[in-house]
Amino acid sequence: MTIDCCEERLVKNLDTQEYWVNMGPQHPSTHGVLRFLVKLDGETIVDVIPHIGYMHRGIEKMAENVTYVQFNHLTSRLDYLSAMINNWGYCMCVEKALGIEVPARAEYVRIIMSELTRIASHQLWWGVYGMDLGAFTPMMHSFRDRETINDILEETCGSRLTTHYIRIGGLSNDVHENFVPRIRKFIDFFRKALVEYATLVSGNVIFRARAEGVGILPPEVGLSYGCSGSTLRGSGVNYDVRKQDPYGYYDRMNFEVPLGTKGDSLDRYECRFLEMEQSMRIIEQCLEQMEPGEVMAKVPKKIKLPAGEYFSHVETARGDHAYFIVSDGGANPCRLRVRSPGYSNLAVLPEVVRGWRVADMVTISSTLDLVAPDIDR
Amino acid sequence: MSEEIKNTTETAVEAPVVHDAELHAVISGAFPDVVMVASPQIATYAVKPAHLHAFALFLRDDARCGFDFPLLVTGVDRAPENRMEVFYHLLRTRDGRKVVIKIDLDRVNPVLPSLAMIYRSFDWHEREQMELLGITFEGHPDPRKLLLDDTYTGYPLRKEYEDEAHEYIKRPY
Repeated sequence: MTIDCCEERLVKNLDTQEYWVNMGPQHPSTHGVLRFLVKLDGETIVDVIPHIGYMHRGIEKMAENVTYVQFNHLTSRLDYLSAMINNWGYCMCVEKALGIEVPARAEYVRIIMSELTRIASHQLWWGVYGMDLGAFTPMMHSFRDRETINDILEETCGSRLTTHYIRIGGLSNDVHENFVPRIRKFIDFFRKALVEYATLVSGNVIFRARAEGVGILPPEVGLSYGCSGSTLRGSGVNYDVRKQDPYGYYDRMNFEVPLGTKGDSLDRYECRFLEMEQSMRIIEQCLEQMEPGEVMAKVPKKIKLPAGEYFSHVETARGDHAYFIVSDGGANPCRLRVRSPGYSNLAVLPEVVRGWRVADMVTISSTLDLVAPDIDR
Repeated sequence: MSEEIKNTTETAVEAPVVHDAELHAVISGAFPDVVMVASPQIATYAVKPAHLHAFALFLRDDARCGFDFPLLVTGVDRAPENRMEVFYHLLRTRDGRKVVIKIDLDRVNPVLPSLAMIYRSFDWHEREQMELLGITFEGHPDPRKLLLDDTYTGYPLRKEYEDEAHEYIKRPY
């Protein structure tokens, strides 16, 4: 009897207190300067408030003070892991407004470059995801293989990360003569490496225990928050700009879009992982169809868009990346708005992470594949 | 007022520039006073701030529209004409079709209702336009600053804005 009373009293006094913990801005798993305020009840996450803006460079304001040609190189600085695809999105917006037709060879090289960038970005994400979960080896493998792609980019356009290779009307120069053989060699090698990747991480028991069923994103929540890319496709929503609103020659390519079913961290992981194989399929088709020719269309020396609104969007490694240009007929844009996929993917984080443990926070935020400069612009 | 009359005549003259006839029929059937604006690429509809909420709900929930994917929000400072514009871009994931809602605002006191509770994505987008352009979104659930520091004053994306830091840089060219 006395013991029961004691227990009752003990339980009453065992109320836990909620408290705030600061995660970031310098935290290894935030990949850039990104800060979360995490409200905890014991080890359970009650709420998360993301604080962004540490990398805000005002690129939209810069756009209003430079010409259309000068702005192009800034797009590489948005999401530096998808630099080529960002270049393409912006150039396409201006080309559509001016009615410029890009030469066929340039269109093929653009697709090859985009898909190479996508693979490189996913490789980095894959290695870093392993590291976020406490495994260091994946990082070594993925950076070794990513180096090959960076070398190919460097040989062709002189730059490894912030490329500025795709220009308004085409490309800055034709590809290097080593381009095709090196890519073929890389694909042969990477097909085998992907099997190795799968045995190392995808099938690992500890990894699956940490990712399976953790951080479920319901499809309707993902859509309402504007998530895109593999973050949304992991929840089973079939939305890929390359399929739904094809640009360039993507409508001639034969590829599949991997979809998840449950929307947990493992589904998001699988979607991204399978995308690498699809990217290689697209590159192979391009290499077969590509023919020698011009890589630059005739573009007016001084570019001025007719007054009006112009829009274009592309599928980067993170999702739907859009440009919206409002022109008043002058040499500079009146307003240039960038929709970055990471911005919306981060916004959904509090909804996904609520109720999970502190350790799951890293698992979940890492599968959203966040890049801070892309979010802050 | 003259602006509105101009818009209606434009649609009457440029009838062939309807980007999506099926959608246009649905929208003009449900909202007769929503005006289609001439825009080179995407179907754009000019809406008065008072009708914005109902119009966005219709675009999202009506089965014939079904715009389930919010793309972006942007404000535009039209300083020479002394007005502001706000654009809402929506897309539907089943076929990738897009629609744009355009709202004309007074530049001195730009106020419009918030769509943050209809499309949750617009929460951050609207916060950003609030701090960068000084547009007020009424009924926004969380109207704090997003990208800028809390102590920041001024609206950087307005045309008359001048950054004090630039005063110190003397360029030789």
